[in-house]
Amino acid sequence: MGSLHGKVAVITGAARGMGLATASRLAQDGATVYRLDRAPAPPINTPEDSSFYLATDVSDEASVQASANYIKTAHGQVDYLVNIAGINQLQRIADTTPESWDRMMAVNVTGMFLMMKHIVPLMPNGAAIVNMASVSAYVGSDGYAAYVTTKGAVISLTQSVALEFAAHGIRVNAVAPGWVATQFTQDGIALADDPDAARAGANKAHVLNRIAQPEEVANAIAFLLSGRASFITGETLFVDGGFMVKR
Amino acid sequence: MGLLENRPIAIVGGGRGMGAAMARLCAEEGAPVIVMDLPSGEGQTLVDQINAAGGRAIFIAADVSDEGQIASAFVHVQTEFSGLYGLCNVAGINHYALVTEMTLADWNRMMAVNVRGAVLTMKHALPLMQQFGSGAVVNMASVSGMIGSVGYAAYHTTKGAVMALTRSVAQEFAPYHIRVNAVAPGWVDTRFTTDALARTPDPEGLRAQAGKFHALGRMAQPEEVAAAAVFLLSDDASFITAETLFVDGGFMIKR
Repeated sequence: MGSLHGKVAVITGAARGMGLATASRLAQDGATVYRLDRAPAPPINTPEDSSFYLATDVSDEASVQASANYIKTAHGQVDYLVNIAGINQLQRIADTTPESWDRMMAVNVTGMFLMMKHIVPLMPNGAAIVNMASVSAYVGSDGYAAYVTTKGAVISLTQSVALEFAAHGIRVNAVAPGWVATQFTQDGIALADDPDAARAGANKAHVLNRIAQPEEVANAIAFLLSGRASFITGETLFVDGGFMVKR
Repeated sequence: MGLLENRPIAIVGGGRGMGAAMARLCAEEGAPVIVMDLPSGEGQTLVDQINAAGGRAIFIAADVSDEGQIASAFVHVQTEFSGLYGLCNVAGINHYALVTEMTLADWNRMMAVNVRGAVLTMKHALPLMQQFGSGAVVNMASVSGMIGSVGYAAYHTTKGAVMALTRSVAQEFAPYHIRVNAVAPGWVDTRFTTDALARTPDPEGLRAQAGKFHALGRMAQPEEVAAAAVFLLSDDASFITAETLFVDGGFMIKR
């Protein structure tokens, strides 16, 4: 039925939010989807859920390798890799320990490196990778230095591996969302002194005067993975409703 | 069911090259297509082919550097389609001239086609897009807007201007549910490129080199740029506005 019938996709951070939305979109398009997450992933709400859950900690090479081996045995090849797993927390520099700094880098950046290292050998010519960046790569954020640093790193990583994997016919791109209506964001807004004001402020930060739905980011990821993006590599696609251009 | 079913889309500079590829792809996705270009047989042949293939297309002759012609063209669109969803600004010219040797007329001509043309088509398309109720614009930028080269200062300037224009109009049109984006190709295998190469000292040598400027090791086909434009026009890009999407095969990241 779908245009991705027979394709195998691997998505990290796929238990909820943008990862869940991306898994749903690719499954709807017909792909077999491996959903990697530390947290158990609920079933995808499609008539025929062709997705499999693999408990994986992307910051742990042995865990990544075990999942890659499982997929290799089951399917032999992977057509699409989407690296979404990420963590974020308020930590000012003065309060940041080397351990908490390393933890953010381990999940948000090293996790992508490890996934690419172990999944790319399973990828044929024509495969594609999308990494999760953020407008935070280009905009500072008081109290979130560690997080924004990891997102800048994701873009640099993407640009270099795009060159490295081009010889194998594998494209590598990133998406950079602004605010997205995920549980993480909703929880943050709910904790604000004035949630309604916080919500309105978040909307106004975007030219489109609203925050994104996770499905809108998933749709952009699906485009970058598809043959329709055959001449796009090393690119960071902003799915930010005009966040970057607004002051 | 196509991505652009029953959404009329005007492609300015749609007679050949990337514009013609966009016209074909939009028609395949179900859009009625308005091909605008300078008067020549190519545009009419293209719409004949689209119509013969079961699509719907019309050709309107117009020079984008002349506001009167643009205004008339969109009046014509209105009589045929009653509203407009999409606008692609592809018309552009390139011209070799050192700044020290460039005439003011040459400079003005490049700005009139590559920048002012897009401003004026957006101006005259807006009322039709408001009538449709939502819309999307795709402007033609280029990696040239981010780099420089000797002898093409005017062209680079126009492409940088297209990106800045796109960022501003995206904000102006957002209240009307119209998204405005740009695509920025690297080298594309079109007659525009062949003609530009012909004006260099070593056309064949440069053509052989051109592929290597890109991470993918080749130039783009016009259909690949058109596919990115169709994505930006479609609802799959519902949260993308004011963006310049590089369809450059990794040109920007390679040295």
